[in-house]
Amino acid sequence: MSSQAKAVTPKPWGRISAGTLGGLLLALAVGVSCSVFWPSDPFDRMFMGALLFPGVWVTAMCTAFTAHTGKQAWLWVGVPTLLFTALATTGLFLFKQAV
Amino acid sequence: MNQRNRKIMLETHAWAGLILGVLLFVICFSGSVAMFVGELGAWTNPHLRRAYNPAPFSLEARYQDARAAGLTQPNVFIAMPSPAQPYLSLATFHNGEHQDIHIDPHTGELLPTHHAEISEFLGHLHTDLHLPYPLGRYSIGLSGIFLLLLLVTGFLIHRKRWSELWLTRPTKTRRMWLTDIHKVLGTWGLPFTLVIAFTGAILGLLGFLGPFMALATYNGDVDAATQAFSGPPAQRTEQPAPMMSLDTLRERVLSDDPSMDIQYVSLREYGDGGAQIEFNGPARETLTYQNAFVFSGADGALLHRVNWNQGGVWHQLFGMVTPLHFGSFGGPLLKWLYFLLGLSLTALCATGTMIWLEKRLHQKHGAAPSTNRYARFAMGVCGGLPTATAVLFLTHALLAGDAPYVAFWLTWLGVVLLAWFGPTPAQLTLPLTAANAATAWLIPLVNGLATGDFLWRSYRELPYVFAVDAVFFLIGLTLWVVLQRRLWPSTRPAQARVLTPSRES
Repeated sequence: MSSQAKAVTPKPWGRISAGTLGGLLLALAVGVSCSVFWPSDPFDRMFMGALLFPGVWVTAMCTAFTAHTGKQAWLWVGVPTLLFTALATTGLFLFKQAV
Repeated sequence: MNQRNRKIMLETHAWAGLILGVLLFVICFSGSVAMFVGELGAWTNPHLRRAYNPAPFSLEARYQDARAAGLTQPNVFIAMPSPAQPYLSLATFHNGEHQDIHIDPHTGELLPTHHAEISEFLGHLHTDLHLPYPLGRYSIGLSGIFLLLLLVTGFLIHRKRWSELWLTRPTKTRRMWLTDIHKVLGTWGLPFTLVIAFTGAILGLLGFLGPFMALATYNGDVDAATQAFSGPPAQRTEQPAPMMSLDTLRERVLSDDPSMDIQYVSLREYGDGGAQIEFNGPARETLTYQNAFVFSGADGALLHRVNWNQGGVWHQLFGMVTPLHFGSFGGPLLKWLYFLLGLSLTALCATGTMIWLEKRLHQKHGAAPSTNRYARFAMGVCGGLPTATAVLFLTHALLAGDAPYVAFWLTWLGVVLLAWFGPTPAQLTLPLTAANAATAWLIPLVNGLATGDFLWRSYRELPYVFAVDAVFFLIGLTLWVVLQRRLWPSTRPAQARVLTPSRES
């Protein structure tokens, strides 16, 4: 990496981990949320989660990489991940109760 | 997008391409060849070469012929005849043993059993890298995700994408030439790359995603979800029962869905009261995956139906993933287009890696040893794979058994070792290209000598054999023209460096 580029992107590992690992978790959380809440038949909901997975992950990576710090990147990716995880967990719990 | 973010996208594109460029080259190249999994059958099996006869035939009679020939296992998979494979293939798997029978659909003549297919071998390289499942499959899926990332970042950093759709500027250096080719291939191939990366990521990671997506309705049990979708498995009752005629069931399928192109028939627990008979195939001229009818073998009751044309929008979109990835929905012309676009995607991966290397190998203060090592590694892997593939075809025409696959691995390993320890990548390019051109020309020649099916004969009678030989002939011709005219510009003398052993130590 050139010195000029280094000046623009210091210590990239926080942002890289947020994009790759955090993005993966976010994509899974979004997919599971869709498979719980999307108003359609079970297979439609399952396929929706799978089809959204690559796009969500790549978007999360691009977003996290452009953050100014690793902490900010984890915030950008982590907050929606937690929200979607909470949503999916609540939905799964309610779904099991209903069944 | 501001300057800073563009620079980050550029860095992401460069590093992701550097880390995965070689792997993506292997995946894209093997996928371009393996796409012709059915079409290569005629070339690889000279004893099965024959003209396709689309006239109706009795499936029941042919199955009984196969049973009389020893195919008596209760679970049988039947591949229906097609223009590329104009014979019935019946296969069983029992106690780890695999049995194959090929039958002429009209005469019932038993045809010789062939050995393993080149396309299946290259297909396994494409889908699993010849690694155990799920390690290889998930690696491929992750590569699809990162190919998508490369596509997005490449799109964002390429500001003049529409004005640079054609190579217009004079190329002064090799790096500029490579950059122009990379941009043109990337821009023209953008929709194809998007489709292949997206569908490849889903197909590769489906085993990983399944349990998550099945959490809500099936408590994460993928088997339960699969059974709900594709029908319950056959339950053996141990009560022998007379079976419905396969011809009768086939007629019922076609009267229910005249657009269905029946490609496969699965017999499960045949002869038992719990037997199932499944007819499988896409709807003609539509972008859908395999629809299915599952019947009871004993009474012909319809037990289950899979219809990708119905259901919600995501259901129908998901049904498009596999045919979109394999180009199996638009006939031979679309397959040729996929082949060319697949090769251009392969070239995109190669040029991306070469741009990075050109920049670093020809710096004023010299290249770092690690850069030299990476250049040798990339040259060995990327240069060796086409050579090994050509050797695979050549040896397949000459040798039986597993010898062609051994030749493939030995050739690839040999080129990797040669590139690592031998001449520099720049010195190796010309001899390797010449070797590839010679091997490509030898393939149709050897096939003609071994089987009598020279180009001028197969042109009239065996279109799939002719296509394979003609492609190799054209590849040889192209490489010969490239060699003769030296189509690539030289690195400028002032910047040119030859790798020396001392720098690499």
